Amino acid sequence: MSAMLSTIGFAPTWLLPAIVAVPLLGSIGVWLLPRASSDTDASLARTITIGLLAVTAFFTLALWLVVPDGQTAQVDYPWITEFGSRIRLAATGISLPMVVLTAWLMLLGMIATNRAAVTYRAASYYALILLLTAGILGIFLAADLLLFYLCWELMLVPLYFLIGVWGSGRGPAAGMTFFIYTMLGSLLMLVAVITVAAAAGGTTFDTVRAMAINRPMSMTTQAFCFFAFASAFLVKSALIPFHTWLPDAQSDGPPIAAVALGIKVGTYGLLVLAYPLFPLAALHPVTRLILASLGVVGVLYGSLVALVQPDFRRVISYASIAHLGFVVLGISAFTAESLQGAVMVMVNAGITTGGMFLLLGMLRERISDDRFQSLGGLAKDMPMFGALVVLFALANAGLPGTNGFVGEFLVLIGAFTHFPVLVLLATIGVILAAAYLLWAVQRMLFGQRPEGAPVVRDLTALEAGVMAAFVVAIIGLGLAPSPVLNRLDSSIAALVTRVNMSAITAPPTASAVEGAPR
Amino acid sequence: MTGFTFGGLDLGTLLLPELIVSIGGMCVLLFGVFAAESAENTRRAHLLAIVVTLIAAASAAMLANQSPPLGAATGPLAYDGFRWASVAVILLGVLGTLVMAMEYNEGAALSAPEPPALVLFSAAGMLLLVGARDLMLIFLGIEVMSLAIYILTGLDRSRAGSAEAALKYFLLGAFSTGFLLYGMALLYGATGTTNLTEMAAAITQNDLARDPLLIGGLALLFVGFSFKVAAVPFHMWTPDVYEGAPTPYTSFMAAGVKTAAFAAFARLLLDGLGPAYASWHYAAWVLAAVTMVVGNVLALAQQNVKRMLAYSSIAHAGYLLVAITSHSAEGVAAIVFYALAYTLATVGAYAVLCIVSGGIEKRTRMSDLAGLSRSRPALATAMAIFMLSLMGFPVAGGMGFFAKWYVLRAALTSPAPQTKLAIILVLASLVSAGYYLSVVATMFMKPPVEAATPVRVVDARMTGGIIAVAAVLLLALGVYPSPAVGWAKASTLPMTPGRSAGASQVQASVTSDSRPVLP
Repeated sequence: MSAMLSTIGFAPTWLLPAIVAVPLLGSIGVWLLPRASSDTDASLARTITIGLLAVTAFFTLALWLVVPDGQTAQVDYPWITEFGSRIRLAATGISLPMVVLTAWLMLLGMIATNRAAVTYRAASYYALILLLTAGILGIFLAADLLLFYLCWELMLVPLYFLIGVWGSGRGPAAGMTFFIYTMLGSLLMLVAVITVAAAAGGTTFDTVRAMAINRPMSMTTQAFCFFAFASAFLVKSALIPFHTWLPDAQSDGPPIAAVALGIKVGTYGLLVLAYPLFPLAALHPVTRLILASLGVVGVLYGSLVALVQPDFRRVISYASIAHLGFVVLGISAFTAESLQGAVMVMVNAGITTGGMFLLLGMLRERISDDRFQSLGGLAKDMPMFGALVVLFALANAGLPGTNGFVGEFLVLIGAFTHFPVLVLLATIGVILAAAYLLWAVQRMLFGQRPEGAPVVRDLTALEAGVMAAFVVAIIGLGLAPSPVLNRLDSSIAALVTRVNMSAITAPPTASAVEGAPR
Repeated sequence: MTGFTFGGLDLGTLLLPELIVSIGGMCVLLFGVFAAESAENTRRAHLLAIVVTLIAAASAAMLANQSPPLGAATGPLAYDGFRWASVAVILLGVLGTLVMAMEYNEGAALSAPEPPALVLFSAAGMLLLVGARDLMLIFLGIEVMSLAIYILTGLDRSRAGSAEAALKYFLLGAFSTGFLLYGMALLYGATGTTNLTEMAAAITQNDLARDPLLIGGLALLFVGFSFKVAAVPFHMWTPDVYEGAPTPYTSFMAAGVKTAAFAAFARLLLDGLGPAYASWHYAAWVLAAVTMVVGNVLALAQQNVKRMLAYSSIAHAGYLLVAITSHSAEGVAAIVFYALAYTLATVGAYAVLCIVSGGIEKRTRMSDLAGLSRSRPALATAMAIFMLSLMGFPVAGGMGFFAKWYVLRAALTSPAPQTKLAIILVLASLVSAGYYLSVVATMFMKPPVEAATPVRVVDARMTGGIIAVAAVLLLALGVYPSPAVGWAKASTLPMTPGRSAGASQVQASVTSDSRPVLP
């Protein structure tokens, strides 16, 4: 494991910290811009923000290119010696795809959202978006438990303000629900984080993972800590039954917040923290069965509820709850294929969900009432929009040839040996996905325009350009997913080995060891 | 500093900060007598008091870096890191109060030179209280501290609420003092000493941990101190008094009184009564749990920000009790660290209220903060930081997070881990998100309402400075807490031979037979 964590040797050392530092410092800078809310100030803040996000996005791409597959880039600075905490950032095979995804999604999302949408306190709005980006990137790059926790919570504040201040009329309520829900999980996780830090004598991932292998905690402690971590991660990723905040937050907040909420930070944490740290509890057959069942229930429930939603944004919210079900199913099976599939679904759901929310945001800038009952026949006015929606819907449904297919397929294959019945049930979800998405597309795009509805402009060149990038990603990853899969390969293999090994070397608390599959 | 010795004690050194503050207070009082009554001279009296506070802080800093003088090891006055750290936190609160009061009192037409003198007298009591290692001195400190506060609470004679608050505080305070005294008498009866060091030794030697007299004394002391730190169920006075008192002095009560009373409580329980941990652990446990839950839940229902902060201060007493319950060096450090974060955020929040209300006490309702982010964006941002800090939220709440982290750490790493208490703590702080966030939501997400009474604009530059300093310190220490952590770690109670022997024995007994039964 330590051999895998070779320190940066193939990239300039500033590259990794810069990925977080650029948006973080940028947010302070933008926040301090003149506050007179004139249009020029707003567009200045917007230009700077897009510039900084572009720099960040290209940095992440550079990191992807210079770090070879199977290697980890890492930087390390001293921080709080008293708690054994360090500012340590690491780009692993699992985190790199998420980092690239996040940076590019936020950049494209920023370009795609029309500047007219934000007139109120533009400087603060853009500063919060930069802060949000820094927080999410920090979650994926942090290699220290305390740092991870700070970034994890840091993400909450900008989202709360974005939803509450710049959302629709119900924004404040949605923001509050979102905050309280996610904080419940985070606070429980805090107790577990401190327990782990105290047991390990430090908070860097190396320290705590070494503790998990060499001096594993008792089954009871592991069970509590796993429960606490999982509750934080699963609430944040909106697993059934902790999902109710997500549709409100995504449909009442601004589109960029919906995009950010579509980035699956929760399942990432589950994968890289909860499993390696508490292998006894995580691989216990009961835990696996509960998680897998929750995942499948999520797939089916999300799909069924998506059928009856009044507008497309809520359909996509529930679709992302269904995607999450696949991720959780893949993680709980914990085989190399199912984990690769789970990460692929995380990446792809980010792309398709994010793209869809941006498209719907563009529609909302044109039509204030975007419920299905007042839509219909939009494809006539907006052919390009219509084509894109259809493509995104197909990708969302996991049509072969689009990116959505690869991940779900791998999850189903990888999980089949462990949970054959559940996997069969989950495949029903794939069929349902096609149903609710195509029905939603039909109600929105085809049929007759309502009486007296004004003509709606099609996408502008800029909007179409942004969406073209998504199209490239969807088709590209659908036809050639191997760059991402190769990147994941060795990291996932190492993760599986490590977790299984520490589950074996753990003290013989009889039932757990007998039950844990090899 | 020698030359002022008494009974083998170098009082000139041991009492230096207290002496400076008391003499300074008298000077301020005399200044008020001889100077003509004018707004200008009131301001000067406040400035004089601020200078006295700074000198006292400097003297404490000097003493902290100096080896203990004659009679410090076992005498009635402590000379340890815990005392100096508490002194620093208290003086910080005093400083904030004085600055706030200087500008606020002009707006509220409370112009008089005596209040700053009263603040200094009260501060002298607080300093004495946190240094006291003798029951008599603890009592003296509490009385000196409280007496001046009663007057400050009722300072605004024109307002019925202020007078009501003063009377309530005075009656209940006197009542609780009775409990304290009775408890001290019983402790003396049980151990034959008022000195905490000797008390610990006596408990260990004579195995008094289960002595009925000692337990009775403990119970009464718990009641008395619970009144002072506003722990449930002895918290009833808090909301009324906090709401009625003029805002700067509310901040003084919330920050200074709480820190001082808590420091004394912690010293009494951990130092003097440390060997009897098994006897008081359960009481502290229940007190902490009930205080956290009730304080936070009742705060949810408040419409007045001062009242809401009163309930929140009750909840914070509960968090601090968790640190005491953990009974470890880590817990002592956590108390100091927490007190600093809490003082910064509380003083900052009350300073914001001072400016927003413009000296009109009625204008501290939640709705008066509506739309503050439009009219005063910087003020609203600072208030949001203070609220998130009190909530214990990371990064945006700054140091408040590490304060919670520290308390939780103390609870979880204690010899007898307080896992259940830790979980109650985090669930209670989840409840607290409900009301702290609603302040933020009101400021940022609600349109401003037209004020019924026109807002008086007062010159509040220095109060603004206090707010800025508090916010920046909170944020800076929230990203890089090492300086404060190191400072808190240095602030341990003395490990005298009697105490450490007692402590180890307690640990043994806790882990073996008499481990307190947790619900």
